[in-house]
Amino acid sequence: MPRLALRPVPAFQALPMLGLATSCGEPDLEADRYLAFQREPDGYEVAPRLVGTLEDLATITGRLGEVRTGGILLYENDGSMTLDGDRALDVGYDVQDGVAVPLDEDGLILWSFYGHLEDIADQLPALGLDGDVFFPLNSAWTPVLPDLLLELLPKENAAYATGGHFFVLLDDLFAKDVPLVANAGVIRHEFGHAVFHVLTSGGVHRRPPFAAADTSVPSLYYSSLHEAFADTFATLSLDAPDYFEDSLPMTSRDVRGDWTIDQVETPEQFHRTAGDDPLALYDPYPLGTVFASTAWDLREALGDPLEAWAILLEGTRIWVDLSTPDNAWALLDAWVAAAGQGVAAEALCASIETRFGDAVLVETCP
Amino acid sequence: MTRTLACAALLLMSIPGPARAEGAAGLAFGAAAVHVASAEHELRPLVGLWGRLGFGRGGFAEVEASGTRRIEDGGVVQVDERWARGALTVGCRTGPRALEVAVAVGPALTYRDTVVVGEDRWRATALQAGVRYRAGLLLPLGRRWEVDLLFGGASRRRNHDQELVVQGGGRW
Ligand SMILES: [Zn+2]
Repeated sequence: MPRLALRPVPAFQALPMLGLATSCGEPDLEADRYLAFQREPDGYEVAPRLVGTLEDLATITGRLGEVRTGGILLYENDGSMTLDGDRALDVGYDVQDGVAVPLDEDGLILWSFYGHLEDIADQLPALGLDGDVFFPLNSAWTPVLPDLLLELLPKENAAYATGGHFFVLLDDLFAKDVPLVANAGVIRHEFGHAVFHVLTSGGVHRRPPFAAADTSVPSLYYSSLHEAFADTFATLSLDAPDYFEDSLPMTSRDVRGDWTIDQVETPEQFHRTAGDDPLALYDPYPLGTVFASTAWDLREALGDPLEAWAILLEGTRIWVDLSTPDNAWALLDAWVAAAGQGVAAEALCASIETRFGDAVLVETCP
Repeated sequence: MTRTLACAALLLMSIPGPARAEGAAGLAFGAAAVHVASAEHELRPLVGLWGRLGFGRGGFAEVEASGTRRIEDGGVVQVDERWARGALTVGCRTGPRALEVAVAVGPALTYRDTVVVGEDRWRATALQAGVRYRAGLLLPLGRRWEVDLLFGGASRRRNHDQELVVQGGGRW
């Protein structure tokens, strides 16, 4: 009788053969272009773009890095993040007239992300940055997040893992005209974090000056400056003051707004009101947006986003050399110092006076 | 031909009791968790047809055809994903007549057809083979009908879909 009971076994032995048969789903044509969300002057469109640096469309692997899926994001004691247990992607697609067409929307979104990364890499020399410092830059698509507050809603976001040097990409909970990961500005914002990390830490794999769990006043100022710099990079490199709008209505991040220091909570004020409440969280974005809006004022005055960026990057480098990474007001001084004299310095001083008022005394301004 | 049909009819009529019925067929409705880009499972509605033929003591063969669809209609792009799956599984069932437990396994073929409408219109199709498995409960409703609750799944390349369906049908 036990032998008879084992009769189903031949059916299971056939499983590896069935596995072999699955290769009939593989695309057998070479694609020279792939479909992606692309940002045009009059808005986004989905259209073919050249394969370029993307060497494998199924695993999304190329010269700029690889997108992996799954795994668990771990916070290390030194404040950096690592990814454990991730695996290769398997984006299904077909090829029509040389254009790779994804079988599902996730494929389209992730190819779009890689396309945006390639556009950043192409632009880096014009932005005064060295691509060799930042690439390859791998990404983790929808990993498990250890942070309790994030874990409740591990969606609708993207992040740059400082020290670990990789992007974390999460999918959307609600449908959008342009999914967040397919939004060029969102990806540039995250890349801006990588640039700021390198400037303030000395290298992509160096530990950040403050641990993620550090809620001291200096650490919160550093977080706000991170957001400020990330939005400055995104808005100026893309020349888009409201890049978020393509995905989500978020006027609070539009750098053309009349944002001033009086409207936002500083880390000192937060500590006074939050006291010892362990669940209180500081929102670093409002203060960051005041800085990013000052940067945008410079772009408006000069009429050239890259000229403004060059001054701000130079100023940030001066600040890193002369100050500490939490000294927010010294950054404004350094920006003005980098602007030299003339239109740029005048525009920056006027903007700082309007947005920061008496709260900050910039010695380099008249 | 007439004699064969008569033999078949006699054979069917001679089978006693609903729990030992030799054949059943009907419709299935449920929710499919479809694996996309190898990361997430997306929930979609699923409809299907099924037919089962019994043999031996508790053995059966089942054929199924099911399909699902998801339309993502954004302001920039429309993605219309459809897939249809056919499967042939062999399994066995056991338990009291009032509520049997069934398991089955076999090969499956999934046909995917996706239309992307952006600046132009593009189409991607793929035929993906894999392994199908099902397990669940078979509940007879009188002599003629049954309703089943089944959990199942199927592989496609390195991906893996799952579904939960309620299926109902007639027995003979
Ligand atoms: Zn940020």
